[in-house]
Amino acid sequence: MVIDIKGLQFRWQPSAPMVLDIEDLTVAPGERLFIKGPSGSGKSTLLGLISGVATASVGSVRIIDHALERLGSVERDHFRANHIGYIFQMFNLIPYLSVVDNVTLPCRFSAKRRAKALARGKRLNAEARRLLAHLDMDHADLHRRAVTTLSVGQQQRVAAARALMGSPELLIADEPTSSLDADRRESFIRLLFDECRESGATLVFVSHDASLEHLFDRSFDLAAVNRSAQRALGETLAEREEV
Amino acid sequence: MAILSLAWQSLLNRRVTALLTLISIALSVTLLVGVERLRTEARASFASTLSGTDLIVGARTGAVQLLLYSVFRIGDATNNISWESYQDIAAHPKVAWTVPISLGDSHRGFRVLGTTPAYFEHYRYARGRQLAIETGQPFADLYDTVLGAEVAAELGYKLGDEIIVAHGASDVSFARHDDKPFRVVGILARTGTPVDRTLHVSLEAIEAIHVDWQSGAPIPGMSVSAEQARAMDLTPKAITAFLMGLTSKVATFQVQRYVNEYPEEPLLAILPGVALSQLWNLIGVAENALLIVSAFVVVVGLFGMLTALLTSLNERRREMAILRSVGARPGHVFALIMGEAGFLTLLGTLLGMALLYLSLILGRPIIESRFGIFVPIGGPTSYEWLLLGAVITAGFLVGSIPGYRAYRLSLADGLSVRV
Repeated sequence: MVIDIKGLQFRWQPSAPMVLDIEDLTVAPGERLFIKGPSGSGKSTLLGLISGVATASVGSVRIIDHALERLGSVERDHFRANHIGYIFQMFNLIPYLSVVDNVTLPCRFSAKRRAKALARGKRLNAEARRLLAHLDMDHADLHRRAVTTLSVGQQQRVAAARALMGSPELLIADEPTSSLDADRRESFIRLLFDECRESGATLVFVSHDASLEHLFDRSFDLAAVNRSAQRALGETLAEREEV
Repeated sequence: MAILSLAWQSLLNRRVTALLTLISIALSVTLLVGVERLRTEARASFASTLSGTDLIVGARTGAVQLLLYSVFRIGDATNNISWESYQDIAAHPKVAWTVPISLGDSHRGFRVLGTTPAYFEHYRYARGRQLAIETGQPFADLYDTVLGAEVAAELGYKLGDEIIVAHGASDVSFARHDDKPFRVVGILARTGTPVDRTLHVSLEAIEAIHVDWQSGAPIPGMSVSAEQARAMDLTPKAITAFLMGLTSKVATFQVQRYVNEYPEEPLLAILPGVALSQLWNLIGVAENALLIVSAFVVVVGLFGMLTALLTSLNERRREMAILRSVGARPGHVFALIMGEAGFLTLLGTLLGMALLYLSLILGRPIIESRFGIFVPIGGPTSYEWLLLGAVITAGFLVGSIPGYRAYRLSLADGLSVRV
């Protein structure tokens, strides 16, 4: 299992209310999982737990056979660098780096992904350009432009290339299409699927947009599964999410 | 190392702010080290206002007072030295040369100094530099005068001009030696010492303008014309002080004791270097104040950097979340901000030193001619290295404040992008 969550409970502080309470969630290798949930249902918290910036208060989060709660914070950061590609909702790029430097950024923090990327392309920049080309970003002109001048769709594709750089086993996309036009959403997701299939990556895709659900292998309704969200006062949780 | 290249690219991206911060640090470093170098040189130059002279001899008084009137032309001597005593001491076997000085008269606020041609030969300033005559020549005729650079510049005198010497030091002296005018035959090059504010005449000339004077006023009914005076015996009866060079430095204390215990009249011999540093201790408080002020300018410069880095943090929280998402630790985020502060401090210091050397190379001739301070262009002294080290350390300490804040923020934010 790429993701294996058992009896997970999470609260920010011992005195704070429970934010997440998930009995069981498993994701198989190569699977494409759609996580659906309105804001306040604990999506960001769940993604933080899967990517290892937070650890379970109770229960276990195993990612690629590593129990994250047993790792130290430095090890978890290292683990994330090696195994997880992450795409944000928007503004994914470091403004002072070029398009190609943004794509190769994970290789600065992970020797493993650097080695994997170099195994595919002769040089990191060549591998970055190959990924960009696959995502229809192969105009030399685009590579020279400041990332802040790219359109939102282009920025998201650069972010996808970065997440795929060095073939991490797990790709997490946190509402990556919510800033795109409706007709662009599907094409972006299809590109993402193609790349995940090629590199064998598992995809966890979070969105509140149920219209995308049918594209995925399986869907997971966080609001329904998260027992603490069901019983908690939605308002306080929403606040907790936003702080 | 990857994080340092990120820090560098981040600085390049915000190059206007970065450049302004850099310049403010650079200028403050230039000021700090420049002030340190100037004050060191000003002290050295002051200590060698008079160099090459082993002893100054005058009537018994305080050491600083003797120095003030004999070298700085400030105040008056309480008493004179008789010509016989001067001749006697000058004949001491350990004495290599003497330069007599006779003070008392003035010209429009500038002191008139009677001396011998030996003055131009033996007077040394600023680490042994000899007086140079800019135009003209030393005095040869009885009524010749050689002006200091500032006297000539301020009063607009040129060679051949006639001047009248007034009796006493007062600017508005009623008693003038107007029957015996002097002719300007030479103007000295600027030295940055009290020599610039002095009119030099021969000892005999001082004697000549006073032959028909007594107790500070002309003797009634007695008038000796300038030409008549030439025929008279103009050997001085007394002088104010004299500078003395010895055959060997080793003899300094022996000769000093000899003068101080001179039986014929109460005299005082002082070592100019010692008396000058005593005087500097009195007036040198200002130099420390200057250094402290420039140290504060560095602090202000570093505060500029602190402000720039701190204000940028909030808009950079997204950037930090992105970095965390690709596996950067909060420690990396700390290193990123520290790296920026480090680059700014190191480059600022480097640029500041470059600016200092540039301004030294350009400004040296001006400083030298205006103030007589010769600033050597050498590598930093150990004290200057210490100052630079303190600036760099302070820069890193200041950088750790936004660095730590960024660390805390990225720890709290994790991957959630909050703006």
